[in-house]
This record gives sequence, structure tokens and C-alpha cells, in this order.
Amino acid sequence: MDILSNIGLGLATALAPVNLTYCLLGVVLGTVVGMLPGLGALAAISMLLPITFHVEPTTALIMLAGIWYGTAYGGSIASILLNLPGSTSSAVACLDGYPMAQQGRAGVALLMTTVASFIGASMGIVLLMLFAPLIAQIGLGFGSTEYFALMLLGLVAATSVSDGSALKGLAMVTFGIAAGLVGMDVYTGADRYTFNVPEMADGVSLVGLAMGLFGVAEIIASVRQTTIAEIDRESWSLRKMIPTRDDWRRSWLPILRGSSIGSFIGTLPGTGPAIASFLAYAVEKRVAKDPSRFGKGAIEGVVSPEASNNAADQTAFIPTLSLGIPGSATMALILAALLLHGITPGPQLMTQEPELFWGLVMSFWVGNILLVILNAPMVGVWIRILLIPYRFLYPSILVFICIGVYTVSYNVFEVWLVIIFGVVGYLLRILNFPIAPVLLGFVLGPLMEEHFRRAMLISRGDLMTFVERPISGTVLLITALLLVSTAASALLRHRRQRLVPAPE
Amino acid sequence: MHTKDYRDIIGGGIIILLGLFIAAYALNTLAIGTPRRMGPGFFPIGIGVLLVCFGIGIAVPAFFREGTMEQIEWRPLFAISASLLAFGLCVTPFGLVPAIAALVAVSALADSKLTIPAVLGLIASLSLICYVIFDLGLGLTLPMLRWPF
Repeated sequence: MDILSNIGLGLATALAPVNLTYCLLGVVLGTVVGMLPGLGALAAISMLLPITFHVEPTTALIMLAGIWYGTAYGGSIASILLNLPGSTSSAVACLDGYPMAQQGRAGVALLMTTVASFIGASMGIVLLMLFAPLIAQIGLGFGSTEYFALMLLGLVAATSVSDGSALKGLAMVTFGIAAGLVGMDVYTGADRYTFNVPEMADGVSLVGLAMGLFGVAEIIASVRQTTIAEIDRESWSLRKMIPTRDDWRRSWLPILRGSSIGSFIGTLPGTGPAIASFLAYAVEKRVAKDPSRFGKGAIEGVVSPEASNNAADQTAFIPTLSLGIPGSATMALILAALLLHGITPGPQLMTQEPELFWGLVMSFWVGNILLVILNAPMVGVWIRILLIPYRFLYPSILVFICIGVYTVSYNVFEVWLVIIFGVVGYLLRILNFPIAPVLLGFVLGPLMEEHFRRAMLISRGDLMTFVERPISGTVLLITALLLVSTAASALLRHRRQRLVPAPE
Repeated sequence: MHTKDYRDIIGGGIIILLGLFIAAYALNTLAIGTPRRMGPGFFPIGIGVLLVCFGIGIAVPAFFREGTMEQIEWRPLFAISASLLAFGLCVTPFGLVPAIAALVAVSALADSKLTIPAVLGLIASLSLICYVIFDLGLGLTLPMLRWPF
């Protein structure tokens, strides 16, 4: 069987000592940043992007992906023990996880979320292994017209689903595309928006933009917020981790339900682990015999969302790896890491770089097993990191950001870019603009322009080509429906607010 | 509470100005081309126009509703930016350790809770960690200390 030899190749790659080391590094870092509030997967991946210049692309990707799914494990630790969501995707775990901790059952909650996370992730990886090659097969028939339409759908979906005003999200995606315009035009060689700065000819660097927007802006916003944590040291000892038979009986179905919901949500553009976990929680509450237990330490409310967000973390790779179309800003960053290494993601990736694709996929298994080993038993170590005051942490993060960007090209210009985007990112936060779509636009913008121009060249300047071709026409129709429904629901909300004045 | 949603008025306004600038720059300095053979300016004009539309969509409704505005925290904003500036100015002429020292010392101004011994301790430990990771571990050619004169 073909798939067996692929799995073999993947395992050989994933278990190579270098890749194993970087996988471990990735999941450990993921766990840490997942726990720390105000430092998410996006910030961590952008900070570590420079390191990937010094290693093989497969190794680099294994590490970056490890950070991404590691945050889902780490996030639940802070949620359960401190009622402090380290990342948005684990905010739901607070609802029932923290009450469990207050009842002295933190150990059980931690162990069960680890089990649930692993099961959810496993389901996601199996689906990824089955469906990514199939979708890539379909994708081989796509031309520039289809790609442009799909990317447009991805961008619109990502902004209309994200929290807050859809218009602001769209404005930020477009701002990201605008930032991507800077530099030499690939077709004509003309300099665009470079203002005679020689460093700008290659365009705004992704590392500088990402670190400024997500690293520095985040730090400026959270320097003044210090939280002192109090943890009951008794509740998470190893002995207290053993779940009762009742816990298992209550958990297995919610874990499976959560995994399925997460797997499905993860593949959709614009959604992601946070929405997956919220939805799983809502479903559990709906199907429960006694919904009043929720919010008071119901184990179903902890395991299902955790299974869900881990499954979503894995299936998010399906569109990214099989078509080269990322559904979220984090996936865009991982896609960009491939581009930086000169690898074009897309349907050809699996056949041209089987080692990279299957090595990465098999490393997910390795990484998730490592996370299970690292998580529950070593929770005491992680807690200690949580207790480091932020005033020691932020100068250290700044040092790593600076060294990271500086060593990309040994040019101080990169540091100036970080400052500019740090200030811009902070102001955007103050003005309540979502920041993640900027990155999505920045990565997809140049690809979209290229596909758009190529499609127009082929169609001899006829815009109708996007509507006439069946696949791109359907995708554009979905995009239009999405825009209309978002606009309609916003209008409806607006009118309802007017008709029914909010209670004073 | 303000009588108008100034946050979105300012935000939308900035987006409009940015869009106008991008479109004007493209019109003045870049070749537009034809739809069939697009020049380097074709796509940017579209982006500029889109930004203006979104900006109007954000700013105009904000005139007709109340809103709140978050305060800008000037001290961390300046201290953090200045600390990165200090790193950038020091790293090429003096090497990594002075750059780390400058960054940590300036960034400490963002938060009044860092004492001088803590700052010195941070500088020492970060220098050591960076030496181990970047010099010994990754083998980067990044001088720790340099004398420019």
C-alpha cells in the first residue's frame, strides 16, 4: 500500500534525532506560551520564525507546528488551576475546570483534559492523513482563477467569523494586503512603496511585521497588568489525578463528540480552535440530562471542549497543506515559513516533498505523545513558570525578539520595522481593530495578486472568467452569501438594539 | 462615555487616509496597464479604493452612536519602543551584551516595580543565556562585545 510506505517515510523523518529534538522544543514552548496569558501561539511562532532559517524546512515546520498544538495543552493548565485562560481556545476550560479545582479535583481535571486532548488530536491527525491527499488530488486541477476565488473566500470567512465588527476585520485584511504590496513587483520589476529605502525593495519582512504586531504590541499592552497567582498545591499531586469510574463513564461520549465537532470546525476557513471549543461546550450543555451541573464542575464541560480544540488544531492543516490556503493567521504564518524556505505549498507539495508532508504529519503523533508525557505528570514544573512575575518576563521576551529579527539578515533595519509595527499594533488594539487578519492579508495578498493577474492574462482581461468557471463561480457565490449574511445580521442586531433599549 | 464613538471615527479616518495615500501613490508613480496586461499599479489602486470604502463604513455610523475610548498607556509605549531603539543602536557597533544591557535598562522604565539589582541580575542572566543559545548552540556569528574605536 502506498499510504503505508508514506507512513514509514514520515516516521523515519519524524523520529530522526534532529527532528525529535525540535519537536520536543516546539511542544514544550507551546505548553509554556499556552499557559502564559498575553502570549499566544501567534506571538510565539513569530518569535521563533528566525530560528527556522538555520535549520531544514521540515525540522522548522515540525517545531512551529509543535508550538501551535502545544498551546492547546498548556492553555488548559492555567484555565483549570488559576481560572486564567492562557489563550482564547482554552477560555472554555475555565467554566467547569476551575470549579473542579476549587472542589479539590484539579488533578482529575488535568489528567482527563490531557486524555481528551490526545484523543481529539488523534482523530484530527487520522482525518488529516486520509483527506489531505484526496483534497490535494482535486486541487491539482485548480488554476489561478480557482485559487484567487478560494483565497478570497478564506479572507472573507476569517474576518466575518472573527469577533467584533466584520468591517474592521475586512479593513485589517486589506491593510495586510497593502503591507504586502511593498517591494519590487514580480512581473515588471517596478519598485512599489519603497520610498527609496534599499531594504524595502525585498518587501516588508514577515518576521518584523509579525513580531511587532503580536510580540511588541502585546507587551506594551500588558506591562502594567500584573497578576499574582495563588494555587492550591495539594489539589494537583499525582495521587489526586486518578479519575473515578464515574468520571470515565461521563467523559467518553463527550470526548468523542468534542473530537468530531473540532475536526469539522478546524477545516473551515476563519474558524479555528477557539470557536471549536465554544461550540463543543454549547453542544454538551444542550444534550446533557442535567444542564444545571454545568459551570459547577461538570467534567463533560472540560473534556469535550479540550478534545474539540485539539482536533481543530490538527485538521486546520488540511486546507493549508493540501491546497496552500490557510484558514487562520497562525496557519498563514506556517505557510509563510514554507515560502521563506522556497517551498510553494499546494497540491504538489505531497508528491514533490513527501518527506516534508509525511514527516510533519507523523511528527504530530510524536508531539502529542510527548505532550501527554510532559503534561499531567510534570504539571508542578509548569506551575513554577506561571509564577514568574511578568516584570522579569517581558524584558527577556524583548531581548529574544530583537536577537531574532536582527539575525535574519544582520541588518538593524529589521529592528526598526519591529518598532514601527509594534506601535502600529498597539494603536490598532486601542482602536479596537482585530490584529490577526493583518497577517492573513499580508501572507495571502501577494499570492492573490499573482493569481489575479495570471487569471486575467489567460482570460484576455475578461473579469467574467471568475464567475463562469464552475468551481470559482461557486466559491465566489459562497463568499458573496457570507458577506450578505454578515451584513444582514449586523443590521438586524443594530435594529434590535434600537427597538429594545438596553436595561439601565 | 462620549457622545460620539470617537474610537471608530479616528480608526475609520486613518483607514480612509491610508487608502487615499495608497491609491494616489499608485496613480502618480506606477503604470496602471490594462485589465489584460496589468501594470504594477493596477492591484494597489484596487486595494486603496477598498480601504477607503471600509474606512467610510467604519467611521460614518460612529457619528450616530455613543462610544468609549481606551486610554493610551504612554509610558509603556515609549519605554518599550525606546528600549528596542537602544538595542538597534548598540548591537552593530558594540556587540550583543551592551545591546542587551541597554534594552533591559530602558524597558525597565515601563514598569516601576523593577529594582536596580533586579535589572542587573536580568542583564547578567540574559547575556549568559543568549551566549549559550546563540553562540554555542546555534553557532551564529554574533559578537558578544565589540570595541568600535
